Amino acid sequence: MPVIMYREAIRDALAEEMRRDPRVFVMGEDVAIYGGAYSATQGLVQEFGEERVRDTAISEAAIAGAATGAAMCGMRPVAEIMYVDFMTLAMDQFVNQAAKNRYMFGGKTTVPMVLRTEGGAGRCIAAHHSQSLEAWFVHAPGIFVVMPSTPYDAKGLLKTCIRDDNPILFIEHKMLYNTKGEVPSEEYLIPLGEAAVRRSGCDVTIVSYSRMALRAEEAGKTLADEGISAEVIDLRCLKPLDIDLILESVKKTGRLVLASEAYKDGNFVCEIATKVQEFAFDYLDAPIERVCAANCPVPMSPVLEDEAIPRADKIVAAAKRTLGKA
Amino acid sequence: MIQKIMLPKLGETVETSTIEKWLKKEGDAVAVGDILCEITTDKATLEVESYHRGTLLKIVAPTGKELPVGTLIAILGDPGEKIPDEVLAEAAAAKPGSKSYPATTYAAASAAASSAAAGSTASAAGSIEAAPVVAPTGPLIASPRARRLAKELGVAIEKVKGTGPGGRIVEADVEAASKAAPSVRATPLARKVAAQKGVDLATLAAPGRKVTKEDVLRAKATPEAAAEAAAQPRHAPTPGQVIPLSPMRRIIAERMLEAKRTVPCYYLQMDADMTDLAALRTKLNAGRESGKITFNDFVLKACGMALRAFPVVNSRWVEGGIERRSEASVGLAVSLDEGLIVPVVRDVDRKPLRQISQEAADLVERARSRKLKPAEYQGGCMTLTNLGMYSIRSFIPIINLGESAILGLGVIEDRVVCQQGCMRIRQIMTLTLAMDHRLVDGTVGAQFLEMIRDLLEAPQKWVE
Amino acid sequence: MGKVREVKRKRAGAPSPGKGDGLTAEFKIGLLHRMMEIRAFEDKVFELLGRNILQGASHVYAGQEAVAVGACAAIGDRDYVTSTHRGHGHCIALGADLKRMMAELCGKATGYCKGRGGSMHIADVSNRNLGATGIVGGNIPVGTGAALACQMQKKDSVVLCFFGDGASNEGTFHESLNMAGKWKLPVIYICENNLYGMSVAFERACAVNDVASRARSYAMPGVIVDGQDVLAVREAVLEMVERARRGDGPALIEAKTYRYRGHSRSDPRVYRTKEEEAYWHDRDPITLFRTKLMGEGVLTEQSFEALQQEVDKTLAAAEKFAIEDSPYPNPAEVMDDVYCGWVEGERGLVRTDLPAGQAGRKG
Repeated sequence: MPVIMYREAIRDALAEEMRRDPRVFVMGEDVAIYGGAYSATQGLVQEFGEERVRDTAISEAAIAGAATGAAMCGMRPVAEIMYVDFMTLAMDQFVNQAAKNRYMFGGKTTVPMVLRTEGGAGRCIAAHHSQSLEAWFVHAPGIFVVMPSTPYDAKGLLKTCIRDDNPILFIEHKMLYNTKGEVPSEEYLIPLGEAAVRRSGCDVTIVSYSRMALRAEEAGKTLADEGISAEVIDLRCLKPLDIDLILESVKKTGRLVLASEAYKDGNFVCEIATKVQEFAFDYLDAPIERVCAANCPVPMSPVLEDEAIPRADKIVAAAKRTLGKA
Repeated sequence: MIQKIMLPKLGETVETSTIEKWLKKEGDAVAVGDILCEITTDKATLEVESYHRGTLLKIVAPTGKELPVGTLIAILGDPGEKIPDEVLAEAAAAKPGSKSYPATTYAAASAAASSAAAGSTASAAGSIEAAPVVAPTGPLIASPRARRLAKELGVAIEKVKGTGPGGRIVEADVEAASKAAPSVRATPLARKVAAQKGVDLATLAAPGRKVTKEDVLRAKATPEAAAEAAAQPRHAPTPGQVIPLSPMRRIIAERMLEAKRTVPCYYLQMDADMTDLAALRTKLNAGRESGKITFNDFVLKACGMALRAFPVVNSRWVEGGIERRSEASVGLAVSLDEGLIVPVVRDVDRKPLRQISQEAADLVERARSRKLKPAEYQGGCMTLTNLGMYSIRSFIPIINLGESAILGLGVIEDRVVCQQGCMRIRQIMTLTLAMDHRLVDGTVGAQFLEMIRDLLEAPQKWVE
Repeated sequence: MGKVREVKRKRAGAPSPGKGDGLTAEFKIGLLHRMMEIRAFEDKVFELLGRNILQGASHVYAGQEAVAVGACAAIGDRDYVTSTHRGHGHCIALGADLKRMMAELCGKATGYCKGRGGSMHIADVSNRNLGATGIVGGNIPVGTGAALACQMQKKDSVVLCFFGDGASNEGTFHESLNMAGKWKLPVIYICENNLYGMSVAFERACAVNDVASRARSYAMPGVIVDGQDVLAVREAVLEMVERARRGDGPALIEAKTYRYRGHSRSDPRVYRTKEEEAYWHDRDPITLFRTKLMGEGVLTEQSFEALQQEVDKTLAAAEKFAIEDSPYPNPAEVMDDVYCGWVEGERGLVRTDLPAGQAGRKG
């Protein structure tokens, strides 16, 4: 099976969907000639032309809003906001207009758009280029939030998102773009709302997403060496959430560790913790643990960044705490 | 025409206003758009315009007084028109207007929706056993999982030592306590009933056999009698004594021997993933105290459906040939103190599950109390026998003479299986099918068993 | 305060519609009728707000009728409109059913948006109205995107994007006009400058005197038109619409107009003088057009009176339909249409296209 990079999987998904459906087009800053800040749209303008792969001005609100309007009028735009940190400039258009128009207009319109963006730390580019803001968008009714961690997931999920009729925020991770994985050359789609079990286990459940999912797998291996059997789950999709898989796992293991790269306060994983205690209370053998980023703006210095962002060893420690081992 | 002028709500948050000045006096003509008076709210001074034409017949509300929004403040009408008494009365009372939603009713669906929601939460709550709580001296610190396990295993949690953080009792502690206690051999049903009724299984322990549900129920009734009865093992002969055969014992012996000698059987074994069926069964039985559907009921129906689909199996060996049966009937082996009897559920593929369940329960009960009529334990095409309650994983059953097959069911237990390339833990039951090779060849038998397995693994497709 | 903002009738490019304007009497009376409907609807809305029958906020369009009616008379069935929180006028100008509009404002199930949107979010997507928004300037990028779709789909449709003077200072205005100007999108930006952004006068908020002068920054023509003259508005918009259909790109039209009532019902309008308001009431677009049509012999006192009664009847029917004859939405439907293909289940979202019990992943 071919082994390709995460960013190539995204590019392939875009190209395949654009070949399949003439209504799909791409727009954003530096997506055409430059091929995308992280090369995820490389080669597209050469194949599809400037009409369908559009470089825009630096105008996040216009990018998100124009995508909304175009989607309401029969197109299927895939707009890009270069950093999730810049979503703040597009908030009203995405959260107030795109997310709500279907509901507010009595179900009489759809907004089939995808907003691709990327977030996460690891490049020492500090507070305005390193955040994980998914919680803000899960909180807005009307939009879906998808965060793949592997090339296989990125391609299958992006294709599904483009074909879906809801406005979807597709958050990539800057540190994953050059990671490699097996991706079939035949077409495949991954449905929304399905998490993936990366490692089966029976002592403790570890749930995470995006780059943290890779760190969670590392933690799982470390724990296995110490005789602890961890079940590691990668959410892949935050909304819709595969809560049933998580509940099934917690009912089996009795212990839960939630890992996320976003700030601890108001982190999306708090929603999962609440649902677990709501629907699996009698199965919990220990309090639920959270491993999240520190409640400070992401610092620049590599030493500080490494301390602020959760590492695999912190996930290991949390898992052990649930088992009463310090 | 009389028009009532009410104090308007000029602002979303405005609850009261004060009339500062009337710009019209009683008797003045009023055109549409004319300003009647000026009012102040908490925020501003605003004008009240008239939406009607007429003469200002009466000013009702005074200036300088804070009034609720919607109060009647003036009455407009034709010149000289008489104001009706009720309007005058309203003016006198200066009642504030009530919220003027027209009394439209919502569709009935909303009432149904809320009651349906209430129903499902009630049933969810009902499934959590309300076990009697032993009041400890301080709060008992135990994890929810440990508490649940303690109930299931019949462990007194307040006696368990906690080794979790802060002395919390965790699952492992309950497991350890359960192993350390002198193990009482009891059926799973006996354990559950004992936990429910607060009976200590240890008092019922007896050598050589397991404590059964009947023992527990008897104990609940008269503890002393139960203890005495339990102390005596059943079926205890005096060494060297020959016990004459009871009629049932003789028949069983003769028929079993003949079956083993004359029926060329082969045996097929298959595992079935019962996870979904177990969940469905729980759901169907939710909130029911009696009349619960058993696992056997599902298998009875599945066997019936398979018999209908495989006429070759739904046959018997007779003098001169093979007789095809017209209906699919399945017997259920019932164990008695002195032996075994197999009441038959007739036409089982055509009956809905609940009916099968009721019939089977009734047949079993009458079997145990020796009230079965001969027609009720003859004429089956195949038999179902279940030793799962004794933790038997699988066994090779002996065909009932005159039948084409017998299906033995083992215990439903958690096992690690491989599904879609992942290790999963599922509830698995082993099925063992004995087939008469004179009637049914190996591949047909295998397909027959396969169909039963497929039906059991996807019950939602055929259960009503 | 204390100054009357008289607007010189300078119009760049729009010819004066005189007697020989080439329009039929029927068409012109139709325009008058529409304006009268808007005025009557808005007056009724204000009354119902005061009587607390209408809940929530409503921003009435009275005084600005000529802009919506004139502009919408310049487009056709395959064009689009995006609207604002003060959007009843645009909706009616497109031919909306007043009954369904009133029902929507009353939060009833028979409203255009099933009672979910209300006054500030009224939409009629199948009839070209891509919706109003409660966010000032929120519709400008959306209208720009609609024009992008029209261009990419190679239809010769255009988009009219309405907004106020206040919105012209929002970031979305500038980002959108830049994008439209660069990509030559078929969108006509129509700024209804009613001289106030809530209580703050335009001259206190805006660094330039005319919104239209910003057009040059975005490579499109800027036109100032008398917003009280319905035919002038129509002419100005029509010229730019035809230009856009030819592929020559967007335009910015500033209609100088006035909002007769306050920003909303709780606004005492202390920031305006009585003299200023009187000046603009003297320039009531409906009165002006009625006078003109009478002068042309197209309208008489009797035919005007008949029109007025027609309008009154329509409003009475709308009020009765909305208040008495229409039910509220079923509360059980509160979660409908948040998503396509998914609904809220017991533990979270579930797909609607899978049979119950199989929703979600199953191994």
